[in-house]
Amino acid sequence: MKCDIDVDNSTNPTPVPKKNSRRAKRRKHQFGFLLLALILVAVAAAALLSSPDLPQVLAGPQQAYYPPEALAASEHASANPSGQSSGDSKATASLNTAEADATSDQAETQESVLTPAGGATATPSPPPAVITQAPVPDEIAVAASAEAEDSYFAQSAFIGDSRTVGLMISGRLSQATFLASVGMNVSKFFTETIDLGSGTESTIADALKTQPYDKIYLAFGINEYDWPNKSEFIREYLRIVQYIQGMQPDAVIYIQSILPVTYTYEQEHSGINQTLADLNALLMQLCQNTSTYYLDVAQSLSDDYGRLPAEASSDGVHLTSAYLAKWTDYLKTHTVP
Amino acid sequence: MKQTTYNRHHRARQVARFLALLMAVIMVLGSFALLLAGCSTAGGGKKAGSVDLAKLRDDLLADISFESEMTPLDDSLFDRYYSFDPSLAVEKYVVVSNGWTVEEIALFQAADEDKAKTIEAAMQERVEDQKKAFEDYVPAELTKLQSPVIVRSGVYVGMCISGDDSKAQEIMDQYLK
Repeated sequence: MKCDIDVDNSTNPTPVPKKNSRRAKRRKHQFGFLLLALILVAVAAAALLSSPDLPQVLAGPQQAYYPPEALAASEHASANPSGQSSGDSKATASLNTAEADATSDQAETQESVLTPAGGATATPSPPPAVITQAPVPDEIAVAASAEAEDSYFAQSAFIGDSRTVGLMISGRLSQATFLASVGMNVSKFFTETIDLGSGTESTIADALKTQPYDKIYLAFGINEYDWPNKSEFIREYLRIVQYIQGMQPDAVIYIQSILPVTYTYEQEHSGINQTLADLNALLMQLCQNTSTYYLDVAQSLSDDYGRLPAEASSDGVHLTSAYLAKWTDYLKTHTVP
Repeated sequence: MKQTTYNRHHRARQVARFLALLMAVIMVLGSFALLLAGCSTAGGGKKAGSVDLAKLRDDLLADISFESEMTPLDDSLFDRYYSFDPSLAVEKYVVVSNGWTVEEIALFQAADEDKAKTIEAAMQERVEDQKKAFEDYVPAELTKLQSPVIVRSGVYVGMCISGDDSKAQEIMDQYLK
């Protein structure tokens, strides 16, 4: 029997039979083949796992539908205590005025959407002045009540601007009728048509003629805050109230206070929150003079400084779904029997 | 005896080799089958003959930076946004801005290709309506309406209005082209 002798290995001179060598080679080949098959299976499994059909953990912010920039901006805002935007900040919510003002010289800016210190009622640094707000007289105030069912709003009409459009879109008061559009204000109530669906367009004034309502909620003011003459806003609002009282004599009319804006938005629109608070004081007088009710939604959604919390809005004006839910909850728990 | 033992061992080794080879072949064939399955479902969730509109919606929301919070449109409000009979679509997903931007996603599977054309025309109409609504309200939003992404492919029609038309087009093409 021929043997392969390992002549160089002086420590193990035992000859290796040639037959065993062939067997070893075969085993080596089989092992290699098996290893290759295992590798192919692993590659195939990896390809299948990376297939889009399988559930995947998405990267990035997981808050449903919330723009990622807002979260990125919050990190930026944390490093920028003044709360003001800087030139190199990533795009967040664009700053848009509620109504285009031809005389305004403001440009579109990028702004952070969360308070610098983060959190629901975190204090910006330095603390801003507290907005002075008039107390609500008892005769027009709506006390807290048991939560109304959705059906309570079945014969209700919500009239207003883009903030009311947001309330409509939230779907939380799906049984109510919404007579609202972006850019609506007290002077367009009688003149500008809105889309009522099914190809129908009408002014809000005319839409109120089509069916009786037992509750009518009004929410104007954010598009009129920069009117030079505040009394004109109240005059037009009074005209609307008197029209509704004539057209819908059995309806309870609620005038909702004007919601404030965020601190960051206020930095670009100096004095806006105090202006809105002053307009609310005038609305309270309007309620007293017209025997309507004043719903202080603004106070319920404001922070300790009388401003909209940063997390309540991505643009400083319009509410997020969480705060639309708070608004809805307030409406459901403040009803007149 | 020695020869019988040798034959038994030899036979055993042959069987073992056969089984090992069989297992290897099965694993190789199986891995190819898995690979093919993975490839057939890749490319944006487009299965043979159908489009996963829900997945398309999710990808648009995840990969495009919308300025406003986006909310699914309630069916009761559909006719305020689109002028066609919703029954023209067998499946629909509409996601809209909370009111202060023109951003919107609208995805439909029409009942047939003619209805898909009707839906596409309604989308164009929606874009024009939004231009009128926002030209005095927030004129800056009009840039998003200059070239909205509208794609029709067979019975599928999709629209995405955002600040990132190129990304929207890329994602829509993955699913609908």
